[in-house]
Amino acid sequence: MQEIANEIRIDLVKLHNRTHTSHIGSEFSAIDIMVELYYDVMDITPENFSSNDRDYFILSKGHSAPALYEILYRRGFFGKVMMDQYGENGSVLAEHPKRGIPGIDVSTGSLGHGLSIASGIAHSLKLSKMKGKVYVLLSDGECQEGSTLEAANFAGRMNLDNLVAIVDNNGLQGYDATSDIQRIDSVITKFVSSGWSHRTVNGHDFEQMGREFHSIPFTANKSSLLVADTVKGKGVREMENRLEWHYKSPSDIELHGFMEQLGGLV
Amino acid sequence: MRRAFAEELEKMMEEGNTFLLTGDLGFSVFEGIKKRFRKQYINMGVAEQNMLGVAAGMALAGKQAFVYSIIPFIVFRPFEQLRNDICFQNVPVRLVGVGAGFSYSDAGFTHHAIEDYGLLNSLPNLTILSPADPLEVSEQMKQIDKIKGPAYMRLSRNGEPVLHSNHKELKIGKALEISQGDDILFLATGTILGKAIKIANLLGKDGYSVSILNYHTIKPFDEESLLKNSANKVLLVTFEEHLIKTGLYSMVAQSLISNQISLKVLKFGISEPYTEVSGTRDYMLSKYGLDDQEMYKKIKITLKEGKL
Repeated sequence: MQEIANEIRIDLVKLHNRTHTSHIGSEFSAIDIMVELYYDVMDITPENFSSNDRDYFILSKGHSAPALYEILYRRGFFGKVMMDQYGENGSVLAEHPKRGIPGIDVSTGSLGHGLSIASGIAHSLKLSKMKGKVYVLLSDGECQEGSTLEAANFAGRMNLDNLVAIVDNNGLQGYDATSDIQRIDSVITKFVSSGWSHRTVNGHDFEQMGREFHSIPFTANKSSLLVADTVKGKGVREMENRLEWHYKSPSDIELHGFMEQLGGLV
Repeated sequence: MRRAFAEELEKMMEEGNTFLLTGDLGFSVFEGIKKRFRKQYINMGVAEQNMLGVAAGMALAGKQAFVYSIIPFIVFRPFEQLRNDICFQNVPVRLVGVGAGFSYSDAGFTHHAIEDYGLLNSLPNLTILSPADPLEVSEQMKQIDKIKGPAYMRLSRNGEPVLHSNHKELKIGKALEISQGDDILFLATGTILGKAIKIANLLGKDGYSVSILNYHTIKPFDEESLLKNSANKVLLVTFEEHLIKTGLYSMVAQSLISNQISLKVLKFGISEPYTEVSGTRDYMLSKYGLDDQEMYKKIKITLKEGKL
């Protein structure tokens, strides 16, 4: 799994170098979580995607879309030609994901929408007696949205034990440290007091994440909140914990060094 | 109108796949539904953004959700959820807003709904329904399943009279002909249709014959009926309980201009967005020149100026 994640990081460095698009830092904090979900935890395949009898994944922090595209491409949802069109004029793969792209259930990009939609899907699946779970990946900054808390209240009250919210707790949001704006403990407290169960995990440790994901729901009849402690820009020294990599893309000069650190150069 | 909506909805809920999500509203309207359908009725609380997002999620998972609140709280407050989650994704969520125009007149401007369909007109995939009386509500509810994408229904409040007897001919997407005449064309949407009918009768006594088209569907806009019925008319009049500049009048004006039709048009609606005062619905309407006599007089003056 580590190898797959690394391979994807290498391709993302190349992709952002080619397209000069933003958010590579937020992709690198989230990529291990998504690889763990798609390769070990969730039941979502190109074959079962058109049915309701499966798991769902919603990238509520839509700005990490290229990392998700790389996974979907590798899992066979679409081909290399489509993947390579990312960032080109006329491509359906934008910087934020859109419903209709093979493998994408929900269009996202504006923060604070994903948890409500995920709750609606989770509630419907339960009513239809489907076994699937709904996984939604939130950014830490996104927990400042009032609508995220509205949804947390709803899910808690409806006992949506098939709903899993993962917070990519990389500690850096658009323009400041997340802790300067809202402490993560206050988010956890709000979820837990709304009826959620909570655990914290190292979001770059596949074994730990696997253990937690396979024990969902953490508590019977409760929605599960997994706070994944991560590092923005994880894997490249120059990017790690640096706010500017929310926006910057690797230059031609930086490309070589970044690839080398990720083992992408022989 | 609310009661007609609730009665039809209750029938629809019997098959089990239709849900009612309310933003903590519906006292004296939904008691029957609340009692009968404990799982299909959900009070989402005072959290409208989440309500629309959940409805979108339910629609994505194959359920039909009706979402109910007072218009400003279902349109303006969660507008981005409506735009991104419901309209862009083109999912069959049914928004039902109560309080068209000045239905909640004395509640003050926070509760007035005079710019809703003008704003909603800019959203993709959305069907906008603006019924004129309770029987139109029932007829539209019977047809609402045929709408594949999202829909918005603009309801008044309670106790609205039945205005005509052509309900069986109502088809969503097609303007409904209320009367046929040679001289003047009236276009109306919502309960103000009642005033348009009264004025047409007065004009009839004066020797004018009036066609009345009821735009119970605002979007998609039925341009065909407008063009067909505007031929050879000396005057066209629009009636709406909504801002003129983004309302039915503006849609009519756009159609006429793009089809290079030159026609005298008189517009009745709300001329300014915000009011400093409140009062009864009739008071508010007359403040904007929307009482029967005032409108009738204006039409007569315009007809004289036009040397009919």
